[in-house]
Amino acid sequence: MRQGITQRILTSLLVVGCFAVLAWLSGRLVGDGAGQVALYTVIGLVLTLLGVAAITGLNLAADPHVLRTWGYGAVWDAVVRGFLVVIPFTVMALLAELAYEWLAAQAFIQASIMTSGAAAGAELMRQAGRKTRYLIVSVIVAFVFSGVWAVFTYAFQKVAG
Amino acid sequence: MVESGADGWHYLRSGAPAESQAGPLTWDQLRGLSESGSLAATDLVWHPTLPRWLPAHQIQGLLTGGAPAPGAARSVLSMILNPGEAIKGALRGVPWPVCLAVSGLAFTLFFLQTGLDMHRVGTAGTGAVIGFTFLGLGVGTIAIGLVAALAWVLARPMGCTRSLEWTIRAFCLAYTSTLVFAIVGLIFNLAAGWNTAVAFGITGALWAFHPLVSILKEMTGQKLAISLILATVCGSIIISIWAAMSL
Repeated sequence: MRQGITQRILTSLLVVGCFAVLAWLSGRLVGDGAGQVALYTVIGLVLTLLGVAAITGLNLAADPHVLRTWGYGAVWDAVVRGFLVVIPFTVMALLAELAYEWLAAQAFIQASIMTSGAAAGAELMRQAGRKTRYLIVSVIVAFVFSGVWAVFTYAFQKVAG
Repeated sequence: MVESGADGWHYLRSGAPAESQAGPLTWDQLRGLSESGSLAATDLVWHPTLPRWLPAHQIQGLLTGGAPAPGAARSVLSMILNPGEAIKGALRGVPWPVCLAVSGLAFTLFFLQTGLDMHRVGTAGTGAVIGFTFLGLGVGTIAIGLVAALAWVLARPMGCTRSLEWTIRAFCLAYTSTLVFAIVGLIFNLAAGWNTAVAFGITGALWAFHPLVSILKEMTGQKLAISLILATVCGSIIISIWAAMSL
């Protein structure tokens, strides 16, 4: 489903905003002071954007016909549409961390990346004539980036002391 | 109602311009498209006896009729990897006791791990562990069923065409991945002495939200915004029940 440029920007910003909130929630637990939390949040956001770009790019590489038929914008729209699943995760994470004082932000981040990636793959598959490769590529990339985020959090904790 | 075997069918891809419609097709040709996966539930279908174009999923027997049931094991696996497709098959082949057992067992094992974790650090006795386990059974069956019923009530004004029974079965089966996580977590908990409630339990329960969003999209005619709002409401209620039970 093609979107207008305004809608494309708004949905992309919504996804980025949600991941920023999730990264901030996790950063509060691993960072020491506002500077470290901000740094963690920014790096986490870059990782997320790399993940979205990788899902888009690898799916295009796996099926160049899609690029000729759809163009970059339509593929991006489908991926971002899948990633909108992060919205419920963000609200639940805010509730869990701030209202119920759980310490599970990292679990919310990793589950949201995996779920969003799978949803993006399903969205691409639905629009591109049900080719399963979209789902497989997207889930694998999301799994890798979920792991990368876990490693990044561990490394950040070590470096931050 | 149009006879499902009648010829003269036309279809139009969801979101495609009207001039791109295809047809006329025989019923068997249309069914062939459906079974090969070329016709999506949201694609529009028309027949001279229909008053207007209708989504394919509203044509009786087109998407859910004669195709062989996928079987419980395959439906369960589909619900983990690609829940939208599993739901499109209307959960055929999965009896309701299996659905209820999936969510019930998932939360039972998850809450058991919470109790075991607390027992390991000395904050819960054996009685509390048993109590937690039964609480999990209640959450996985009664609470999930009630949340599904609430989602059904909220989705009705949005044109929900699915039954209450279908909704509860689908919600329960959405926790298939949670059950897988819970079983693996329990193995590590017992064999390696790990505290697994957060690492496996919460992650597993969160993984269920992909199927839940797909279920809500199916219930609301693929309206993404409304399904995300409903998913947020349902998720927040489940988190709150979970938090209340853990006190």
